[in-house]
Amino acid sequence: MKVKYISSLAVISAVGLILNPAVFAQTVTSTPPVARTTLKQINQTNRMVNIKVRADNQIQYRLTSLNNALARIGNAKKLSAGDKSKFTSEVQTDIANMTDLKAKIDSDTDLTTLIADAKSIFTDYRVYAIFLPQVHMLAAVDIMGVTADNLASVSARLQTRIQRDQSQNQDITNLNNLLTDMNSKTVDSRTQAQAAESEVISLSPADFPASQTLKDARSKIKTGTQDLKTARQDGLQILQGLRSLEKEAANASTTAANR
Amino acid sequence: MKKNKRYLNNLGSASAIVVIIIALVIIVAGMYLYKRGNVSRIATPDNSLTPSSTASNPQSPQAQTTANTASDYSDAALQNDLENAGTNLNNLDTESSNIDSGMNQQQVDPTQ
Repeated sequence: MKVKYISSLAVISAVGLILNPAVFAQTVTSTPPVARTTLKQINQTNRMVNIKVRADNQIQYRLTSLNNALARIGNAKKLSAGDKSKFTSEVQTDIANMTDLKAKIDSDTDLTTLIADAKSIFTDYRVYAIFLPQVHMLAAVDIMGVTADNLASVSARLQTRIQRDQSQNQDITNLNNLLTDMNSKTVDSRTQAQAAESEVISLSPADFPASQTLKDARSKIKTGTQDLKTARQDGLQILQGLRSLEKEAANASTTAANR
Repeated sequence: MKKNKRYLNNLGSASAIVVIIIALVIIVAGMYLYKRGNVSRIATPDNSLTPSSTASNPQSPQAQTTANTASDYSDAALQNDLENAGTNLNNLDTESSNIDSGMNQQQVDPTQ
């Protein structure tokens, strides 16, 4: 009797255990959430690694470009001492801040913070969008100024030579026309250079995109460069003309002496 | 006799003073003329062009105020300076390429 009672109780317990929904709930539904969480974590970790690698590369490109810009500013001959100091300081600050940003990005553990830090490579610095075009334009303006000085000095000496030939009754009309063109092109190149410098000197990351200003300044640099090329060609033609005139004069005087 | 001697002494002193004054006048006038001659000699070569950029460029080269020597007017010197201008213009072309490549740089978003 006792054995029968215990057997029935065991069967009922077993059936109850099998049919109990709580058991199903525990055994069937506990595994998937754990798996999903783990998968999500793995994906997030992979994404963070990828973002860090790409961000580090972008920072490295910018650090290289900024160091080149620093050397370029240091070599500028006509950039004012104040502007030289200002740009050097800005580049050094950007290099220091970008180096700090790289360290922060490498140690970020939160995806949202990492994304914000990575985006700040563009939004806070605008190295390629504003700063480097600005520095290269100022470098171009610097070269234009030095070249204009050079050509002005040549022009003044050519003028003296032309006047000397004129005093010896040589026809210098063509040479004078070339000299006038050389001078006006040199002066215009200075005007273009100064206008371009005025446009870009005060640009900052806050002025992004500033594409129209940059395009406008670029166009002025192109015009000024062409002016200088023309002025140099004028100078070469004048020099050639002077050589011919002086050779003719020398031949004439030799012929006269032989008569 | 004594009077005559004193008179001669005074005359000698006065003459010496006059000579010294004349010498001083000549020295001062000479210095003035020398200085004036230098200024005009320095200014002459650059009268043809006004260096418009010097006002905003304190570091501009001083070539504009340096007197040229005779050899600076030679064919070789002028040719050399024009060659230097050509080198500068080549550097300017390189800088222009830097500007264009910088302006055309693709912005790669690392978060994408």
